[in-house]
Amino acid sequence: MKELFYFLAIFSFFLFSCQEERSLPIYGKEAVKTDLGYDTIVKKVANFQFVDQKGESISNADFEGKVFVSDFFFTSCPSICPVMSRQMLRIYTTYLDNEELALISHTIDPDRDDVQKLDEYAHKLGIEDNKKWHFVTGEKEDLYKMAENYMIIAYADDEVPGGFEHSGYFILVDQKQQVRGYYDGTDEAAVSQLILDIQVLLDGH
Amino acid sequence: MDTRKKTALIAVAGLLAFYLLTKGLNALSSSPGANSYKSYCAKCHGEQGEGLGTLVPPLNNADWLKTNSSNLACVIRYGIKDSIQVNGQWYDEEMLGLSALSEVQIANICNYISSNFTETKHFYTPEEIENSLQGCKDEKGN
Repeated sequence: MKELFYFLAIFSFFLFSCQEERSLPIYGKEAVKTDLGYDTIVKKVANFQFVDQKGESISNADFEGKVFVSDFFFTSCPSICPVMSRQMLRIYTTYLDNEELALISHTIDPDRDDVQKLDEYAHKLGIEDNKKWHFVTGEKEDLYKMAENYMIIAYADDEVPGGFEHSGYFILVDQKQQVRGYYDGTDEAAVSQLILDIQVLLDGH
Repeated sequence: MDTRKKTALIAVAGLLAFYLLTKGLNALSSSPGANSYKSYCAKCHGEQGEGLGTLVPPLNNADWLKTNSSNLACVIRYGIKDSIQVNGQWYDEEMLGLSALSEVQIANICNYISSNFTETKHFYTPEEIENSLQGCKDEKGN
């Protein structure tokens, strides 16, 4: 009996110590030729400036040192957008009290989705302020360029399908504005993984 | 029979009962209606029919269902474009119809919604679903 106890104790010690800490990939790594040979650079999220649901200007600087989740949607989309909003809301609620996490939802229909329309939409989801979750609009060209930018960063990775401004992808960006993950925003299980991965970045891994 | 054997027997019987019970519960929760509801409705209306803010109306305890039970099948197939009022709250987002669903699937979903989210638990017969759908088909002039 005593032997069994020791065995279990040692076994469980190994079991727990073998659990690897999860680390997330960095997307957009590229080898560049320098004078000294090859070096690796990481593409960061492009510079942007949009206007959010309260009419405030939002740019990269607002997300400095924060982890953020980015997606593309439009308010008059009855198919996948409510599904994505439900999942974004899960992330919002989970990290409600953590100021190190922010969300940015870009409209791809700026002709219709002006500041007021976005604020109405946010209200319908129960989001009263713009402290954590920014619903942004801007020039159509800039919004599509932004989506394209996330796509170019993803392009190096074969698993991420293109054109995700229409496919409901959530993009996870770290404190250094590097893309760390792409998740299907219509899939509850994928978003559960995203919620765990956010914590990994917040913990500084 | 000594005590040890008895204990073992009780343990085995307990495990068996637990196994059968969970299997039965699984079968119940994975009925065709539950599966269809999960696949086609829950992503917007929520697993418990709770809705989503004021974007998507709730189904759970929704007064709309009481007064519109004969409309439910039509809404599932053809969607809603106009604003509707549910439990005192107006909802003005469009709902897309699920035109690919068969009448049997629609009947299963209606009965799942009815038995889980309403007090009356009205049972929809296949004829009733067929009549409702025929009615709104004529109305839409399709």
